[in-house]
Amino acid sequence: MLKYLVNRILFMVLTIYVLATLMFFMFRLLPGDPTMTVISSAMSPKAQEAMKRQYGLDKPLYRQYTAYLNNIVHLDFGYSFQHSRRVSQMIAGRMLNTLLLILPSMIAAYALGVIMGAFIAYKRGGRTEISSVILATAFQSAPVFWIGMLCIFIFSVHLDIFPLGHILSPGMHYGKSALAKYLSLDFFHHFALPFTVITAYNICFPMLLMRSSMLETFGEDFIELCKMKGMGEKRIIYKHAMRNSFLPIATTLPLILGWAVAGSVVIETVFSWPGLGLLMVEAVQCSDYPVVQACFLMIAVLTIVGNFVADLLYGILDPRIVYK
Amino acid sequence: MIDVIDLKKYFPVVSGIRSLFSRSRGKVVKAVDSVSFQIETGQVLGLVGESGCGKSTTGRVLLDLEQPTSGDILINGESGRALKKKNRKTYYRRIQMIFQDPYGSINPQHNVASILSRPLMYQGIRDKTIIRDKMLETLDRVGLSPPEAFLEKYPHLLSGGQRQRLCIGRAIILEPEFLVADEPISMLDVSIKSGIIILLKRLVREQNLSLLYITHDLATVGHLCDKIAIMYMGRIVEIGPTDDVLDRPGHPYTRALISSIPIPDPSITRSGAPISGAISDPVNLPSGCRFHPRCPYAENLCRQREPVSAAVKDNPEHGAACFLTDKLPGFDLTKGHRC
Amino acid sequence: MFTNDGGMVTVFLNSLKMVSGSKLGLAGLVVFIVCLGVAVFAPVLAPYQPLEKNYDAAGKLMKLHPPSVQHPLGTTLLGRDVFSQVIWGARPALIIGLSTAAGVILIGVNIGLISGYYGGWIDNLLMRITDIFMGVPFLPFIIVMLSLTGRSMVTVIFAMVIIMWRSTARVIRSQVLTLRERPFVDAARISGASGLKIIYVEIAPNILPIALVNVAFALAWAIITEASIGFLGFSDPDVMSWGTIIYRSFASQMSYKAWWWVVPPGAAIMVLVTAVYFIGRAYEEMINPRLQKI
Repeated sequence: MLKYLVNRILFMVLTIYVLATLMFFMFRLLPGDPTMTVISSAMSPKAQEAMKRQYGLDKPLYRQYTAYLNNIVHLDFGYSFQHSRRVSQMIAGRMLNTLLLILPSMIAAYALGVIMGAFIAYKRGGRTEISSVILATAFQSAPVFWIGMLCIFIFSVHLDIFPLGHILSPGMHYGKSALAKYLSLDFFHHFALPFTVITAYNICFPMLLMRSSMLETFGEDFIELCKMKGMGEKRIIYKHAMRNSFLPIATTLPLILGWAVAGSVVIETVFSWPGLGLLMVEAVQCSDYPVVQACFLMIAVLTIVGNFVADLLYGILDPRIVYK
Repeated sequence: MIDVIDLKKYFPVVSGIRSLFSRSRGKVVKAVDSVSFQIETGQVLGLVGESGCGKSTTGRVLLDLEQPTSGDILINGESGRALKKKNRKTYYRRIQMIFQDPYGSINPQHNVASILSRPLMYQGIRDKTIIRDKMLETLDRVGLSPPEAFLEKYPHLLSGGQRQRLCIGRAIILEPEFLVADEPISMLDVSIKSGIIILLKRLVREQNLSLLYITHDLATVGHLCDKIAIMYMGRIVEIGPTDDVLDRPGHPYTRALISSIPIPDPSITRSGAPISGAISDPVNLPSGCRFHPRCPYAENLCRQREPVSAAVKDNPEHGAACFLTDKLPGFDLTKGHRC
Repeated sequence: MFTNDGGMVTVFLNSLKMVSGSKLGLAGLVVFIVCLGVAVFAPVLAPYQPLEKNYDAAGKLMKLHPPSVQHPLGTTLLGRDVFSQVIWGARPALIIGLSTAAGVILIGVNIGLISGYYGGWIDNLLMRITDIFMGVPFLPFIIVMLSLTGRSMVTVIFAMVIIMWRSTARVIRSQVLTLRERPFVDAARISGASGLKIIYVEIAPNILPIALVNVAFALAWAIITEASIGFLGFSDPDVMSWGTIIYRSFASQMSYKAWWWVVPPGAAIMVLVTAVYFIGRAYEEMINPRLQKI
């Protein structure tokens, strides 16, 4: 178990390292030269030189690369081109905001999805099943940003129940304590709509998967045996079928988590939610490359750590897996 | 004439990088341990043993589906090792195999024509009419007639017996000199088994090939085999002409196998000792004779030294690897076992 | 199953037959074919050019006109006809979707086949690479790519393909792992077949059904992703895709005043992707009969 953990963590570090390297070379070698946005050719050659030195661009590529890696290890992403602030300062709070939105909705989506999937499998063959499958597939097929926009249109613009976006109303202050901020009614007021949209959107996948997994389990011999023993159908479903059907769903958790984290880019844009995704989109639009790099790496880290946790969870759920 | 010389196949217990650190490093399972036998052209050797004794591995090693640890096979005097080295494809012109599972050994996505033509095509035969003629001839030979009706069929339309006939056809289409049949009838319905046995017998005679017939079922070997080899834990413990081995078994294990053949006559009762216990741990082989933990006659000598094959009843054709061959109590088993 | 005939084309045609056997699958197939038709005949079907500015009788720009007989889905802030834009939008969606799906399957299937068949260090290496790709955040990566290389359709396809093959490769590999243990692989080997022959002649036809299911899911996912890229404003600005239409309305901050500008393109995406999912699911249920209603 310990050996497995160590291996898994080492591989996680390797993955992050590979992605960081990929980022470095993409930014250095692809045609769009990011430095062009800050170092204008209109400047005097001397000023250009000075700027290059400031960003370390006068050194050979491998020196830049080692310096880059060194900075990443120290979580130092340099200064934003746009805001002249430390990038690490900018992203810390943003990361928390993203997690606050994604994690609760993913947990809710999986819990609800599994229960609903089991329910429609139980109702197999009936109207309920067909209509839920059609509805869920259609809902899953719509782009999440579009659903978000429609919800804002209906609930915020027309019914005026929820705010249009953002995480807090402008001009609200909750003192220095971050906790007070995230526990305020105002936060939950802003949180409710994006949370509901992401949850509803992400319910579909586990729900459909749970349904088909349940249907497969129903065909197994041990379910027949339960029936022959005279066990009640409800008991069979809750005690036997659901447990076994849940495992394949659990394997998809890292995949979905990855989608959700990566998808936060879109959802945060729609709801103007000040998370990593929105920051990244804004940074790309104004060619603020240090920020883009940092955001990308942080989103990647969230994805990779998410995969890791999901893997471990799966091992706990499935007694047949023994980590060596 | 097929001559298998000192064939060995050892599987490491752990493999890959892990083997450098594992406690079981260097330990092996001797699946096939110094197996030698000869098969005359036009003759059948039955290789009999319990599951796990290494008989299937022997077949797979002969076909190079597993790399042999050492040993060689002479096909009419030519070294298989040298043949393989020169060209794997030409090696398979001379030696072919029939698998146990007629369902799994046929690709469900290919029709009969493509299954039969592939071996020819891999051997570089491109002429369509030659291929077609050869296929029709082969289908006819294995009893799938009219052959034209089968060419376009897909495997799922064939019965188990027809599938196995197709597999035999695929094996003989290259006219090999040596054929290995690994339990070819064990997965078939009882009613079809004898048909396949008769077909194999006819093919051996007509095509002048040598057949190694691998089975766990002593009851069928009498019909087909000229010689029998009994295998136990990677070793051949007894080998000889079918009648000699079945009537005058020189090894306690052979006796036990023979006594376990059901006799369809309740009036016959059996003497001879049935074996008890299970096959020993293949990683840590027992000392001395591998059979001694299960042998009812085992003596001290059996626990200390490993017996080598010796002639039974002064018959040079018939050998058994047992110290006690001559001391064994009389084996006056009723002829019932030759059902 | 689908073994009446062997060729890849016939397997494909048979799978179409199987899909149309289920009601949802048939519905999906019909919708998909209609979408294909719309994409092909867009110039005939669309009453206006997608970027054409429309003026009323008085010569005034028709800014944000609600749906009317003339403009069945209204107009945009710049007086462009939404209906025509939605019709033209089918083109990039399908071109990008289909090319991406094709690329994903090509790479994913081959990596899965080679990794699963050869095993050993090749498998180890390829699967570790796949694992690393699993850690790449999909959309952010594409955005970075596009911002660095320019926003053409080809880059979008390329960026999606180099990330999306990962899950297909895994699925195919696990299939190959079981297939390569089947005796027919040994049978082929002793017929004198080389490793590559075994992979592509013996094993590949048997994973074709799974690959086809993956084509459907990759297609669906590619269409949604393409829309997301468009929505974030990273698509080719000269091509009017469904995502771009929504982006324009969102960026102009008029999306909450003119519902007709937002609802139709999103609905189009939803309908097309739903159709693709139905096709994929119907086929999946056919090749895995246990999924069917018991």
